[in-house]
Amino acid sequence: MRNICLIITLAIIFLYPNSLKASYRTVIDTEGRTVKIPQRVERAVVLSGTCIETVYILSAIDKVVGISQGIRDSQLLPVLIPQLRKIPVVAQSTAAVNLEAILALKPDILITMGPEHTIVGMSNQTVERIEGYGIPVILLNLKSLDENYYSIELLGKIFQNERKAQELIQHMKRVFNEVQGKLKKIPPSKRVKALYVSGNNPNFIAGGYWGDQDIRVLAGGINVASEIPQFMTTVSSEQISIWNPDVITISAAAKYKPKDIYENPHFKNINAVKNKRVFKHPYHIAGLFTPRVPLLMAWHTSKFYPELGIDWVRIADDFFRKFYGMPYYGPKE
Amino acid sequence: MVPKNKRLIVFILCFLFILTPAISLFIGAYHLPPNVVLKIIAGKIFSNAPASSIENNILFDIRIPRILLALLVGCAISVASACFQAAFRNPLVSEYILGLSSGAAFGASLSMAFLGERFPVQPMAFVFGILAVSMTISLSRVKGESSVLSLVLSGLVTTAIFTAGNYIIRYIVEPEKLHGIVVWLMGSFTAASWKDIAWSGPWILCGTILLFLLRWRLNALSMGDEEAKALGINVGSLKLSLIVTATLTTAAAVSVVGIIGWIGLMVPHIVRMLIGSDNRLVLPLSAILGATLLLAADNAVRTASGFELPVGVLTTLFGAPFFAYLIRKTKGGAWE
Repeated sequence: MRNICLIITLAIIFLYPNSLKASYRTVIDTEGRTVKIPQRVERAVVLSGTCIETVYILSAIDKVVGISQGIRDSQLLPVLIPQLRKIPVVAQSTAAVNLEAILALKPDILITMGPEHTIVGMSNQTVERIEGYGIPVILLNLKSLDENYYSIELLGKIFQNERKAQELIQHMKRVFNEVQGKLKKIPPSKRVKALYVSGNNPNFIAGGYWGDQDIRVLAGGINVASEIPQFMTTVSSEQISIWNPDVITISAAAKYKPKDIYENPHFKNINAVKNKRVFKHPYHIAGLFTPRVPLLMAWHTSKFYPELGIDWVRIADDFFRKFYGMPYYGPKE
Repeated sequence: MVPKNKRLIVFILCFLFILTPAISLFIGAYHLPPNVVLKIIAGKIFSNAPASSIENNILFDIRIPRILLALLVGCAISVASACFQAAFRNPLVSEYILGLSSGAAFGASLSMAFLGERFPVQPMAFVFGILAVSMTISLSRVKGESSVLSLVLSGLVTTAIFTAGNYIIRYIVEPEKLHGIVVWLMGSFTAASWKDIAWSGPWILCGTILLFLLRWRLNALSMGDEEAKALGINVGSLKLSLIVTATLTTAAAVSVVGIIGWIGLMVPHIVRMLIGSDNRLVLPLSAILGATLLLAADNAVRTASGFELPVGVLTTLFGAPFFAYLIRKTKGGAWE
């Protein structure tokens, strides 16, 4: 009996630390932070809309126990992912969280955007506070296509579905390469000057914050506002006249339509207006650095260079059917 | 009417009022040489041929409406503020004292955040601005009468309620829409158009003229309610008409450009420091100086290269320290 007790005690002493070690692993988020997470993630709080789509595609939505109000209020996400309507809301946005509600869920991990994000992002203070309660926080700030692919790989590792993550990345790269291949036919001298606008009036424009990762640049256009460092800012109508863009694309979230720009006397001498090349993209394909970014790029390229015959609706439909299990149901213009 | 020793000041103010818009025609992000500007204007006046050049578009569709709107809004908020200060016999009163700005901000935010294209920002800001002031007036009425104190306190209550509503909207709205709300709250002429002038111009001009016609009675009111009553003035109805007119004038201005801070509070004070407290002069000179100052501030923001700061930021940034300097220099202001 004494020997049995001794063996059990020794087994606990030697094996316990190993079992403890074995139940955790480390990953590196896009901010370069090394985060220790449980070997198996069964309960995740996901506050960022860009990540929830990937989590769904990785068949891990049943592991999400808490989301943000921003995800719940999205026009698109609850349609693509009906389960979102039943998952408790534990934060207003990626930054403003209800700490007690999160702790009550006892999550294994929390995924959000960090303080480096341009518009919203959880503060370092909040990140440290959540981690202080033993909840690992993964920060995914996506500033480029490469970071987008990296985040998908990382989520694949976290939710242990690396095969699906690779399938998604390969599909995105295929669409990207298809469009880029066709774009080679357009010489630099024929590239269109593009302006991206949003907000309450077309004076609220996207600057050059994203550099060569800007959706217009990826789509083969020249960003006329590349000199402006901000992501989004207000410029005068005179400045827009100086730029004289060939094409204007309007964010799905804007409070106006192409018709309003055509009828606005401020812009009547701009090439994009004179040639009726102002387009508003459907919210169904919007979202910079979500898995849908190739769809948004294909839409832009098709508007910039209709002569290339890029069938963005087919591309969107393929993607929707393959990863969301439904046909593309948005506008097809 | 103008004292002899003040005539030079009046002349300078009038001169600046004419000079500033004239200079404004020649400045902007798009380089238009003076001879081109003059040629386009001459072409418009002397020939009927429709010019469709980009220069013509810059001048007549972008620059001139913006200049006119800045003049109109500067005039509206300064006159309304001068009127409020005289009617309430209080130098701290601005055109927003009765909760107009918070109501308008709430209406505009509601439109931008949730109501889409069916409920445009301007009418929503206008309606909610008026609604807020009506709420203040009805809250302040005790036994059918409103004292100045109860009006100001009710204004604070209304402001608090609508500000809280606005905070809620800003908290829950998507980040992309939030920027639009923040810019609106700081006031901007970026999108100024003839349509804006057609919408707000008649209100502002009618309101300003009406307040101008009431300037004699404002003087009587400034002496105190009892004195005004002794002069045979129906103080209650006069105050109500002043408040309603000044509110409509300000609401029309605020609804098209957002909230412009400090001009309304500062301008009547500067005028009183320069010319005295006679409302027969304070009102028209406030209109002139308010229009000139706001246009000058807008010129500064629109000539900056690249992105534009909202003009309300500039008026507040420079207005507040300048106002402090004036108060120190005149040992507490020129309020008599």
